Amino acid sequence: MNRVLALAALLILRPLAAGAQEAAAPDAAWGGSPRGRASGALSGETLAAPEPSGPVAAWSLAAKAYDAGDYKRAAAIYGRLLDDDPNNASLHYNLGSALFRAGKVGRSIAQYQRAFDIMPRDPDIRYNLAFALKRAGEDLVPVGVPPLLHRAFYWLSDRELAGLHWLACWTTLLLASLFLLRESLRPVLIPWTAGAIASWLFFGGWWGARRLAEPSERAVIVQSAAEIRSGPGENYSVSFTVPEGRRVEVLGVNGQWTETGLAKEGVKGWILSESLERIE
Amino acid sequence: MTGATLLLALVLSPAGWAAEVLIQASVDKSVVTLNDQIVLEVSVSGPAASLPEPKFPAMPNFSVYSSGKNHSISFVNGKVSSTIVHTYVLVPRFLGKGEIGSISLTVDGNTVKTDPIAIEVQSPNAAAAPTPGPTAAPRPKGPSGGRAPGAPANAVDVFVMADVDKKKAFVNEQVTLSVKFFTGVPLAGNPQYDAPKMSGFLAEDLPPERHGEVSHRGRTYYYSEIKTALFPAQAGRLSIGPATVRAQVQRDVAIDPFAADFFQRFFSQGFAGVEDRVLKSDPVGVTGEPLPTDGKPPDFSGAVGQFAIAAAIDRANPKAGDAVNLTVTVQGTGNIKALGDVKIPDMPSFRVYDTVSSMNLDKKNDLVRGSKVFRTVVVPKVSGALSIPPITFSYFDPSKRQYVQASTLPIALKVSGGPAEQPQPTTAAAPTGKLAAVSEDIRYIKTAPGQGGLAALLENVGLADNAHSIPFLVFAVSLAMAMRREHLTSDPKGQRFRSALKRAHQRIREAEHLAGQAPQAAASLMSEALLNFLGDKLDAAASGLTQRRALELLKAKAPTLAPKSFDAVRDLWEQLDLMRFAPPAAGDSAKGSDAAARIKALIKELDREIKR
Repeated sequence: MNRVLALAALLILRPLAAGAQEAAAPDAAWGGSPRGRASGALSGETLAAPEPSGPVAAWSLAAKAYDAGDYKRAAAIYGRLLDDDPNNASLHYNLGSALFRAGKVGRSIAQYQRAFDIMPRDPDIRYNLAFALKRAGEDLVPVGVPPLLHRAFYWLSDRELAGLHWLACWTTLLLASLFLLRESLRPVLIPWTAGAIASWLFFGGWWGARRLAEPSERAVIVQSAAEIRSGPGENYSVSFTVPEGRRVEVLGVNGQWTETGLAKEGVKGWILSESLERIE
Repeated sequence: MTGATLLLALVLSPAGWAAEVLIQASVDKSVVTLNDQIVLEVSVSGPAASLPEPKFPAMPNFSVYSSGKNHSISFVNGKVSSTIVHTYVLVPRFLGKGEIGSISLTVDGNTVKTDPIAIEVQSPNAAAAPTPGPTAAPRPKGPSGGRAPGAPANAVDVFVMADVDKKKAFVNEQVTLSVKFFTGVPLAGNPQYDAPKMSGFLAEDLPPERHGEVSHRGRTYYYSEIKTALFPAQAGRLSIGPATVRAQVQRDVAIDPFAADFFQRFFSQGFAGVEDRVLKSDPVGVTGEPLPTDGKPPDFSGAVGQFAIAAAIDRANPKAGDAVNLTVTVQGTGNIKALGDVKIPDMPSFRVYDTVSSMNLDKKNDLVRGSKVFRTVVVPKVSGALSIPPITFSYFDPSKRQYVQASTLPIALKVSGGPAEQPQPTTAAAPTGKLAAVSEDIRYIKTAPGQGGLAALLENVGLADNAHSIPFLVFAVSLAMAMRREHLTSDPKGQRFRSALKRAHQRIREAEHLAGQAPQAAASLMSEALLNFLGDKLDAAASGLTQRRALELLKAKAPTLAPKSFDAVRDLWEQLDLMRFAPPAAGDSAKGSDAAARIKALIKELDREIKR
């Protein structure tokens, strides 16, 4: 029995550790490091960010640069910090603010969106994302949706919802196992098992609804008046232009071109991939 | 468009966006000669990227040729609007008065129609100034549609020419390429055109296709012309490859009506007198001249042509903190698509946000022109009399061969202070005690990393992919165990049968432990083990089982059991009875061990042989 428990613990802990490692190194999935994105956002200028002695000193240095109006330097430092802590919503938020001040609305929206994905109930993150989106002609809360409902729907992040769903699933299955094996405990277990099943269905449904409500692959336009063409090449005509900062759905990739869709307008087309920043 | 223009604007159903969709139909002229053409433009516009196609009525009195369509979409403040202009060339086939029927459009189930457009077709002789007769499938005059009388015998029937309006042009200056297809003989079908390959140019089509008649080396030809605006993208020698036209022409076969084989030749020409021709124009070279470096303004971004710039605001008397829309329009002749952004000058008294641009293109008279509109939001930070300084736009004028800097006039604003006439764009307390928002801005950065705790734990749980299978596994095992237990509980005889050997071994082990100290008790346990084993296996009560009954049942349940096994049961039974009831004697311990070994071997064999 002890050996079974030890094996179970090993199986649980190893994926957790792997998950933590994966969370700490998402660069491959994003096609570049957060620092690279920050630097790319401020291309054409040398970002000679100093090497602070530690994260605390770096936070302080970045805040000082931000306060002094040196937003490019602040963005560079936040980008470096994100290399080590890519799932830190505060860092994404700060980087977004620095980029916004530097005039890079599209890239700032991408960072705010990442921060929102990680910590949607943070009021500052929500406010700044809504503020920046408004600049791009988009509302965070879709027209016709009550703000309170939207706030409730996005109270938990996708990962938190996934965690709650799986916790409820584990609890349900373990209680059900006990229910099957220990007849004497059944009267006690019935309400707990029913509650666990209800939680599983609730969080599973919420998680599923969130996944359905959002595109599987998203991106933000990072170029002013980006041209969307009817095909993947310069030889195709420009169908329409999209303002910087608009969130779009990624439908496919063909070489240097990415097929994007705008659900609100019901249109789609091809755009140079360098005009987008993908959010995963 | 010149000439009579009939404009019809109809508003569709008031329901939904259909209420904002417009359809317009116009012609460039309403009075034409028989060999003239009419250009019909149908414009559909509305607040959506995808607009329905107009439906045309039957027009038997015209030959209708599509000359392409132009689709423009714009986004302003997240709202989309688009316009599709369909261009058609109509060649009349009748004399007198007629009409272009109503063109209809269906949106959301509602159909509307434009009014018919009246057309009068006059005889070419009656027209005061006859125009060259064009058709999409030209048929020259002359007997049998062949070479005109008096035309040179060596004149070619069909050919293609490509030319440009200038051989030297500055980088990004328009060069108009004209490709003409001439034919002096009837065509068997519509010719197919392949545009020339061009390197080092940005190209813009210049519709519609033109048609006409021209005399060349004493012979009358009809021609079709396609124009393209080219903009050299670089300096140096640039080339335009040959344009290709594939056409089917009637063979030039003369038929003598008095010849003996007249009918044979007449019909053979009708079915076999078609010849495929692939015609290519000569390549054309253009020299791209570099723009001069002398006098180039710092804000020059590559615009070449003639441009003007204008600026406007949507409110002249805002409050401090109010958003003011600043619209800067650059319009003129040149490559509008290549225009760079307008630089908004530094305005310390304003907070200036990003600029969003939209573009309109026009290609009248074969010149690419239009406008690019830059919209930005400026927020006055302070109250008082403020001014938006002149905004400049520099371009190179190829006709003057020099750079020109256009500029807007300063725009004056009178900004009222509102609740707080201070230069600090912050939220201040109004005299009424209520908060009054002066300006909007993003919130300040976070000074500490934050996050962690339960949220981090939940995220890690969500990421533990492999671990999710464990609870399912545990549940599956539990379910299997519960089902097995349920099965066993429902079959007590079977359970007794299956566990007989296990329980017998248990008793034998206990007997072995007792063999040294209490041989009789050990013998009793072994006897009990044997009797219970037989009882369990033979489905009989062990308490009342006699040796004879046990052997009978054994024979019935295990007919293939060897006779020596029956003997072994009998001997063992008797030996154990003897050990239990005979007075203790030396060597009982050894006998007990021997009996234990024998009983083990016996029940192992019986367990194998007795089937349920």
